[in-house]
Amino acid sequence: MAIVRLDKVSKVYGKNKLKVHAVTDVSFEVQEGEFLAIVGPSGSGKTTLLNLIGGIDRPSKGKVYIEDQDITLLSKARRSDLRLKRIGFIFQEYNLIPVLTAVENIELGLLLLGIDKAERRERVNKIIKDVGILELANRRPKEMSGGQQQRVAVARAMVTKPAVILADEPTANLDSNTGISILRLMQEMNHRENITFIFSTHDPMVMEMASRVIILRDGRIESEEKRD
Amino acid sequence: MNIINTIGILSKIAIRNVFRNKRRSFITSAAIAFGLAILIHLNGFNDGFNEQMINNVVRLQTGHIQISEAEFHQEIDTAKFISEPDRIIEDIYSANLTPYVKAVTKRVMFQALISSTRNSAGAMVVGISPKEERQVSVLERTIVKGGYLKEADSPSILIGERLAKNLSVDLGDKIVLLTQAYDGSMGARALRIRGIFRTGIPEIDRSTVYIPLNTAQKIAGYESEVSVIVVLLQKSQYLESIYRSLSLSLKDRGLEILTWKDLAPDMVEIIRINKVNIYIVMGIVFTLVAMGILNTMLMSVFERFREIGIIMTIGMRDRQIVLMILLESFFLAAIAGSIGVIIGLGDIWYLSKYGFDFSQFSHGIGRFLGINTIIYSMFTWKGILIPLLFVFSISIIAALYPALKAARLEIVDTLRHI
Repeated sequence: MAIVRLDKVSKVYGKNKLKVHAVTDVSFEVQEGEFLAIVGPSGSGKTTLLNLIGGIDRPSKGKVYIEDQDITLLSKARRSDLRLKRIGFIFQEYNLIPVLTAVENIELGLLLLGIDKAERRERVNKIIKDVGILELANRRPKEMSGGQQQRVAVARAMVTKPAVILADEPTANLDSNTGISILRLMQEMNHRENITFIFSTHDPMVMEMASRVIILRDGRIESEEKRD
Repeated sequence: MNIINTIGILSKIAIRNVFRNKRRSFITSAAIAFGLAILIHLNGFNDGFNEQMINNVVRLQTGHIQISEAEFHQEIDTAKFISEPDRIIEDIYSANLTPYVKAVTKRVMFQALISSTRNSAGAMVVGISPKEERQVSVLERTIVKGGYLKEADSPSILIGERLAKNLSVDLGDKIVLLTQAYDGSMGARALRIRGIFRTGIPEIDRSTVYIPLNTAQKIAGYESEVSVIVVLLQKSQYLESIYRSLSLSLKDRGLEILTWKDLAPDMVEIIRINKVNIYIVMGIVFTLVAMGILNTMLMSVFERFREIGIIMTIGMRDRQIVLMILLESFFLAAIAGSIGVIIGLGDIWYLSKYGFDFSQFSHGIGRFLGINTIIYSMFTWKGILIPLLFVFSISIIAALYPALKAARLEIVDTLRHI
């Protein structure tokens, strides 16, 4: 079963003469456990594509399926539920909640899912060890470096055990060493937990680590290559 | 479990957001607390003022309840009297009302012409039983010259300070009362001024005199008859129930039972206007408080567009976003409310103990308060809880718009927001 499937998806912003075709007629499938990179220059439609897969934007045309469920037909509330249960997000800007500590940021999704305290504690303790932020547990975002915040963001995305994690240029704001360590962390999680990762990037180093690369240009798939 | 978890984390985020911009939260809280303290002060002060006015009317003029012949108060006339007042008093005490009734007294009332050697004036003559009246009225305390009336048929009179001045009389002088007795004959009596009183209420000081009950009965041509029976209750709160009870037990006698509210309708109107004024001030203060909260919450939401978008991306639902913003406003109100209540209670405590003398601001204040122009605040739970409830309600209502605005944000737009 494909974890993600896009069927002739297009997204147009604006109206009349101000129309912008962000994504046009894009179709592809992502299988469980893939480490897929969507690459392309700025404005090629990478972020729009991730937004459509994540259900935070609706396509103008076409269908998006998550685990065979057409999410374009879901209500706002159902899409919120879907994101909470089946999709994890990692952002370029880390986007942690500033008033919560690292642990509280990670725990937020579990609380919204209604998971009991014992299991929450177990899952959070495991993930903070796995991503190497044990000593940062009680720090707030402003007390952490960019790399540390991104590790917390990875932990937050993974702790709910989603079907797919969408990462929008996760290394763009990090220096190369930190970027590599974050990518290795994501790759390790991909191998160990068999979690599907889809990330957008224009960083060649990131492309090297992907199991498959989709190249976008002007909102269309220009080429696709599979790596071993 | 899920709801508790959700409210728990939303509360945590909300509380921390309140303290996130300390200066803004402090200014908003201070405005709310100040507004609340003002309202608590106004309520306490107004309740105290009203209570003093009521007390003044009750203890100087009407008592809580008066029993009289039907329509006696429409036209005070010696032809309208109660024939067997002592039986009625017995009935009052035997109707299981004793725990609620503090004192009962009889009065004879009629209009009379009062003449001194120099002048004459119309006045209301009130015949009182000095000993019983002492239990009901504070008249004795208002005497500024001379002494109180003695029992029995002493030819003495208490006269208001203003009336004494108008008649050009002083302590020990003789004045003559002339009135029409119940049978139409003219009753007259020379009386010596035993005391001069000053209640501070111009109407009383200018046109009321007090004489012994027996004397008044003789002038009016009565034997044991009286004009009214005055009942003073242990507490004002008993008024309605005792009124109903007396109305029921005395209904066959054809008597009229009136409360102080019926006897002093202008006072009831003043109290009502005072209350309306408080509600108007309350409305103005809360509008200002609401605008402060609305401004704070809107700014708080606008600043956090991206953050709200992230929370929504993670999977928080619209209603949880609304709840989060409302909780933020609630906690802000709770902090401000606590401070406001503490300040307000401090104010009430101080003013209930030391009071505030209004005479320096208003010469006419004695008209309402009598000789004691110091107003003492009064603590009531209602005076605290109603403004507090208003603060919380307004906080929630004012935060609704920003909360709904936040919940209706499009995630895609918020993520583009810097």
